[in-house]
Amino acid sequence: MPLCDPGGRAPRLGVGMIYTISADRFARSPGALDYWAITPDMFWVDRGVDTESRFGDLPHWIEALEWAAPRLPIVAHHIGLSIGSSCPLDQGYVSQLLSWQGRWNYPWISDHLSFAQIEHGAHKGSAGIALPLPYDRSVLDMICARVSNLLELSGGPLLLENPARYIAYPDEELTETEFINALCARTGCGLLLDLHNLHCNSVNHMFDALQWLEAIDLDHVVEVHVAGGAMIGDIYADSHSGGCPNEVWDLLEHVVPRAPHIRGITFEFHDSYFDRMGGDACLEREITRARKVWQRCN
Amino acid sequence: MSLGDFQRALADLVANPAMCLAVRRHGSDALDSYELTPREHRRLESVVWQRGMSANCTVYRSTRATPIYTLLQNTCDLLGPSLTHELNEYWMAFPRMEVRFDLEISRFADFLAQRLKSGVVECSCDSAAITEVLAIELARETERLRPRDEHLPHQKRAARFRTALPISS
Ligand SMILES: [Fe+2]
Repeated sequence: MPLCDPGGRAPRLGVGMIYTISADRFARSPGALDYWAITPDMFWVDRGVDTESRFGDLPHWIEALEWAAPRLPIVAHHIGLSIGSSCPLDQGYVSQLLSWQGRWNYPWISDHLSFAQIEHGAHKGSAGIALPLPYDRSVLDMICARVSNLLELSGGPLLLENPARYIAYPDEELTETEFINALCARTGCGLLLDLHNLHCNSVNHMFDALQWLEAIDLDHVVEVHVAGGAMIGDIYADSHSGGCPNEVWDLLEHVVPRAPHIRGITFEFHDSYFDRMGGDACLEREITRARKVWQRCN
Repeated sequence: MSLGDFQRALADLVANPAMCLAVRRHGSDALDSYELTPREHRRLESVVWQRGMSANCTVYRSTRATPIYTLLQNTCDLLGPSLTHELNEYWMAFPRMEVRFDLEISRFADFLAQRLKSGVVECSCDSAAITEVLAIELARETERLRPRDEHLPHQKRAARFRTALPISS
């Protein structure tokens, strides 16, 4: 039975940041953040499906979580579910996800509306990057069944993130907003609305991001991502390489007051750009700006 | 199996720009080894002409290069301009990315060490010096990427290193 509020009992958190080792000092500064968003896949070693003790904690990463857990909420932003792959979900990975949900007491869990695992005969491999799904009814049915199962196992909340899609498939049966609205309405899962992904898509595929937002049901939004990007050739890429462009701030101003179930705004950046984007000063500036938007509506 | 083959074909295209060019040139014939519906054929034949496909190929390559460059930085610096050639050779020998950083960098290190030994790496720097730096960096990173349950208590340390997440998350 779909939930009315996809955030369930999760509290309204405020403004957080994706945790990275380079931002460790900033992330631990008192009052700097209302929560941490972590990519759990970075905190463990996966020894492979056939191994006896498959997942092992990476000590220097786990130490950061052990510091944060008594102080701040930690939300999980996974990259390994590969919810849209044709192959069945990796049940060992799902078990690990659920075990960490209990261990770190996440207010919610998220992953991406895309695929990264591929089938090679009886084996699975990695595509290396997250790739876009065709928005067809059969794909929607497949993902809805998986999401419903995950919601049952985890108790929720579970969010999926709208992707940056650099390519467009001809003859899709549904638009992106139709696909996401149907997925959320049918399953009760939430939307992790990535405004920078939306901005990328609107630039690269030349559509109006505000019209996209008019078509999406903002009741489903539980978390928002903001980030910065850069050009790769002719494409504006979701590289997480700096502060947010003004267009993303404008979209954030538009969304936050219209998303009644929103629980948090997360600033994303890639570790390897930390120094080039201005280090702690850049983080402070972006978080402060996001907080102003949050505070106006809360 | 059609969706599975479609996804595998797209992943293969992203990992292999030469295959994109082959599909541009020969259309459906270049996708013969995949079981695809006519619509999936049309979709793949369309995406290879899209500028976003070049971006996907670039993102794939940079995602694959990042753990090597980040974790074996001194080795890469010593290779200088020949790094690009060595990465291309490596990617041709191992077209599939290994998502575990420790496995990816040790596989690259083995590959590079072999090439250095056989004298095929064209580089202004001394091969023996690169081999030595490579061994040191590999040993250091293997230790840092060792999970807690494989550490003895006295080996615990607060190592710090940069990570390489896929570009879009
Ligand atoms: Fe995101």
